[in-house]
Amino acid sequence: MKQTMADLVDRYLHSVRITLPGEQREDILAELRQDIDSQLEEREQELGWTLSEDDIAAILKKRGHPSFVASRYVPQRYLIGPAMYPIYVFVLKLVLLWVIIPGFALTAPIVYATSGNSAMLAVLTKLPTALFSAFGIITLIFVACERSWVAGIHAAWADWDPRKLPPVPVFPPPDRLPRSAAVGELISGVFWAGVWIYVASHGFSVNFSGVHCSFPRIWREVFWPELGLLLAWTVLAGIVVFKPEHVRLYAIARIVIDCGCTIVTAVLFFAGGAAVAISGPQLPAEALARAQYGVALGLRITWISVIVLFLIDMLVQIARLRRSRSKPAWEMNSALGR
Amino acid sequence: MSQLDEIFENLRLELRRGSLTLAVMVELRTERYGYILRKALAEQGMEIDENTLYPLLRRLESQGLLASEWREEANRKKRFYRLSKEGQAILERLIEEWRSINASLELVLGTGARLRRKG
Repeated sequence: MKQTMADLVDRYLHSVRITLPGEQREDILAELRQDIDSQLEEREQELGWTLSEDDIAAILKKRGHPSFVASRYVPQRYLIGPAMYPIYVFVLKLVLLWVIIPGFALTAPIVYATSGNSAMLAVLTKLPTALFSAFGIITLIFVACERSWVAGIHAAWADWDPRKLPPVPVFPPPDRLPRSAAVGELISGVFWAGVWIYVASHGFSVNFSGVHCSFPRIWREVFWPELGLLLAWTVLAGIVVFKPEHVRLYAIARIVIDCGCTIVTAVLFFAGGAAVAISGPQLPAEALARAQYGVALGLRITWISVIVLFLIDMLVQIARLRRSRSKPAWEMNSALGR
Repeated sequence: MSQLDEIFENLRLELRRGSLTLAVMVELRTERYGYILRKALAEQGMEIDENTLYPLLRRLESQGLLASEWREEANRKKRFYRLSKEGQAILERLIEEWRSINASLELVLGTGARLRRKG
């Protein structure tokens, strides 16, 4: 029985040994053995008989798995600490979700149009590698920053001046629209209306690399509605520049314009491949058909993105309408002592 | 274990962590080895498992608050710990801090109890 006792304890301690920190390993094991031996001896005295294998196993089980026991002696370490972690997560999300994935989504149809199905699949199969590589590179950069800068960040946290904190942004009152944004919208509305008129008067066609892209009748059908919407948007921005207090009128007009833009975009979306005609006397028929399909796919992705943006803007305007009734921005400013 | 039980258990462990260090240091004003120290604490209602005690003893020793030596007792080698001079000085400050926290907490708890009775 003594042999069993020693055998089980030896096996237990050996398993603990594997993951213990090297420099203190023997010392820790000797102390653990001393503690286990004392516990087993005391238990034997309590029971009045020699411990069975099951008794010893129960005691060792209660002490915890060898890896758990060893882990308690290892100091807690992290690759990226709390000072850097929020920035790390932000950069990771930005690069993975807003750079790499959209990059692939836009590249794949273009590659399909120019080089075919197999080339597009080859591009798409590189997506996981690109994601993992970006993840690895970003993590390595932040680990390096953690090692070199974190002491500086902690020092900066310790030595800071409340007087150097940035000023609290002034929330525009709900009964006035920000004039600067309206000026931006006015300039942008004039610019895009000009572009739209110029393109219409000079024809809807483009030539590149021996491929002729023309924009068939469907574009002419949406010319006037789109121009009307662009002009309405421009006029509305002009009104806000001079009358920024017309919040509710502005929000309602924007919702109407967004609805119009969504309908025009939906028309283009449902036109699909018919929205662009591609011809190229030098190109084989198969390549031409592929290019037509790829461009149509790219356009569909673009139209969906545009529709989503209009829908988001509608939600923003609805929120503005509700805010103009409840005036939380005023409350916010007054809560901040403004 | 329900989620609430788990939250309680984590908070309970957090609450005990600091007080365990204090209790260990107080007990080591008298020289003891690990197993006896654990028993002494358990007899006074401060249960501490070996996976918490031994790493804690090592940490306190590496900080210079404890001193230890291997000695033979009852035909077995044991590691005896005792509070160092620096440990003694730190312990006095910690006890003072503990009493201050305890007094403040009693006040807070008393205020809370009075408010509950009024409510």
